[in-house]
Amino acid sequence: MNKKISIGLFSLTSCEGCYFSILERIEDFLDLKGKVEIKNFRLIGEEEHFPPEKFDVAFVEGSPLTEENMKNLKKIRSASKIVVAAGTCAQLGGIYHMKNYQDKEKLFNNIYSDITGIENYDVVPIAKVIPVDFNLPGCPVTASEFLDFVHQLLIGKKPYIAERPVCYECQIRGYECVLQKGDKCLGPVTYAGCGAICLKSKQGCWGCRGFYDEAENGNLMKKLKEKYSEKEIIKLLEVFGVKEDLK
Amino acid sequence: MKTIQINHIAKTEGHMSFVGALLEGDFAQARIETEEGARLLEGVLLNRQYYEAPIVTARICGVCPIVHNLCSIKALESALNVSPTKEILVLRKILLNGQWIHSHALHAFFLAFPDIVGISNDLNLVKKYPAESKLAIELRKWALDLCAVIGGRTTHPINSVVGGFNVAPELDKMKELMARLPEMLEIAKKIFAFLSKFKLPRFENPWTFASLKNGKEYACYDGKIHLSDGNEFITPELAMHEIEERTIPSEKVKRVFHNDQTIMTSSLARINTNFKQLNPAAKKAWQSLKIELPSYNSFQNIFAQAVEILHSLEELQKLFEQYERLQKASGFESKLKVAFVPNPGKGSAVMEAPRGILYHHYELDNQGNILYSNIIPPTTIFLANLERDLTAFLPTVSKLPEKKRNLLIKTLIRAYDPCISCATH
Repeated sequence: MNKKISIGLFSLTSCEGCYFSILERIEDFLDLKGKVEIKNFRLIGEEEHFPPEKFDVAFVEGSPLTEENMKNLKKIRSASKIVVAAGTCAQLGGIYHMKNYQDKEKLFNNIYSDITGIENYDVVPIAKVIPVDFNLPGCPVTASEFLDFVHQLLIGKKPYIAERPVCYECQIRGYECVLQKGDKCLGPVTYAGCGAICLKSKQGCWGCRGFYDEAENGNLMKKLKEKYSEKEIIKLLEVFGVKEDLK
Repeated sequence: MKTIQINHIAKTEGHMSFVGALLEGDFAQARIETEEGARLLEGVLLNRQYYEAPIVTARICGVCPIVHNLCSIKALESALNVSPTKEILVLRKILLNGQWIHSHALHAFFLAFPDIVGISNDLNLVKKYPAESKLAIELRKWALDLCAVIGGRTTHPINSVVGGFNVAPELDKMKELMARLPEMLEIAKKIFAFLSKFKLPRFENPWTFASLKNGKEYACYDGKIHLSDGNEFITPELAMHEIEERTIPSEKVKRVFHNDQTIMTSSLARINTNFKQLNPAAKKAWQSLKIELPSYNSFQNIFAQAVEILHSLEELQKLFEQYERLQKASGFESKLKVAFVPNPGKGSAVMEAPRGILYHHYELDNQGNILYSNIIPPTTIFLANLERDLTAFLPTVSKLPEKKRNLLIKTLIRAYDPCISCATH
């Protein structure tokens, strides 16, 4: 094998759940050590490697919600060959994106009535700030997809996650269809790869991985409208930030 | 005046920096600057359905999503007048103990302990202590698996909802995990014996401590808030009247006070409050340390966590027995979910997160929409106390070489196990 590829794992404002999720398979993560150089990962080490140091691949988790976050994001882009949006927050805006649907000044004043000096930005996907090469979807990302992604890079393959809906993974596992039962589920249009993990617990899919490329929303919306109001459906699409992608 | 700044402290959940100033003589000031952006989570929840709250609030924190999920559910069930069955409660307590174990194993061994031996990167820790690292990883993995079997997934649980659980945990997987409990107890004993050999810095700065307390057990899922000043008990409903949240310019995290005093909440605070209710092996382990209680040495929180791992494993032994009994009885699965209809109401709940007391509060309308929410995580409660500790600690290390001094400051900060993602939410 050629020389090791260097990897940086960076966090903006987030719960860091994506990286904790990767650490759930810490033994596999540590095995990567022989093949990749883990240059920046604040959950395991103090040494800060930061741009202008160069990275082959930078994973970015979270939302750019402070001026410092914005600045860092741009620096990471300029120092990295490949930038990957890791997780729903970075890719779509995620849970905190819902802040944008409310009057954020009012929300802010409800929580911090008497102080100034706190930035209160809209929550945006990182692709609104910098060009992004790949998305690693999910809230949180899964350790196995992260490891697969790195292994594909190592053998010089372009990382790829099959374009198919969560329904595919749900059906081959024989889980009960909650959409047929009348629950809200975005499985027919959501990008698979999660193993339909929510459906395993009979929780309808809320679309945290975003829509897959050829997703046809029309039929699903018709089905949902049989039972739910327009407003209820929109609220569902707001949770993980897929509302804006509705065709 | 000499200022000390340590930027971007790693190996904690969330981002922060330390700023300290040494004035004339022994007088110092110390502040933690949090660096997470404004997510305004309590605002995000407004006008959304109650059942979204446990899913949304889990995402406050990637290391303790389970306790946010459970505390949110408990507060909502109080608002909705839902009484969980004993089957539900047993599974929730198993989940919560699993959450304590995996969080403590990560923090005590991989985030805080390396400071004691001056190792700054866990890759080097694993090289220097391969056998112990392997044990800590194995224990953590077991606890993560346990949480996944019940919660559907570890990071951001799915199966645990208002009213109980959507599906019963897979029996064969539960059996497999339960069978390995004695092995985990042995591992936890070895890890404790290993950690307890190391000397922690000597530093005492008496503080007010707060933990949940109840008559039945070492409080974890249930209890009233017990404050050490004046031996007071506070119900969750009254918590907001008893404490004061103060804002600081440019700081997203409010600081919490009680009677003008900062508050410590943590594993160490719990051992101070509830030592007598620790399970036998945990109690014996703490006694072997020969540390007098109450302890006000915040560095010892790492020992307290290692002891609590033992306690939680012993607790799981009892909970597994209850689960086995209940699981064999007929209609087990149907008892895992309680039916209810939304009604207007208010509900508060407290729970012991790995890092200390967590508080959730919600107000709902008759459609189940959230009208108001308030969340106070443990790091919000103890942050002012950490700053008070640092202020007292700074003069004692000011003459040391910079590298050593900064390591000790970071050691104290990390001993608290701060979670800045939680604190800013």
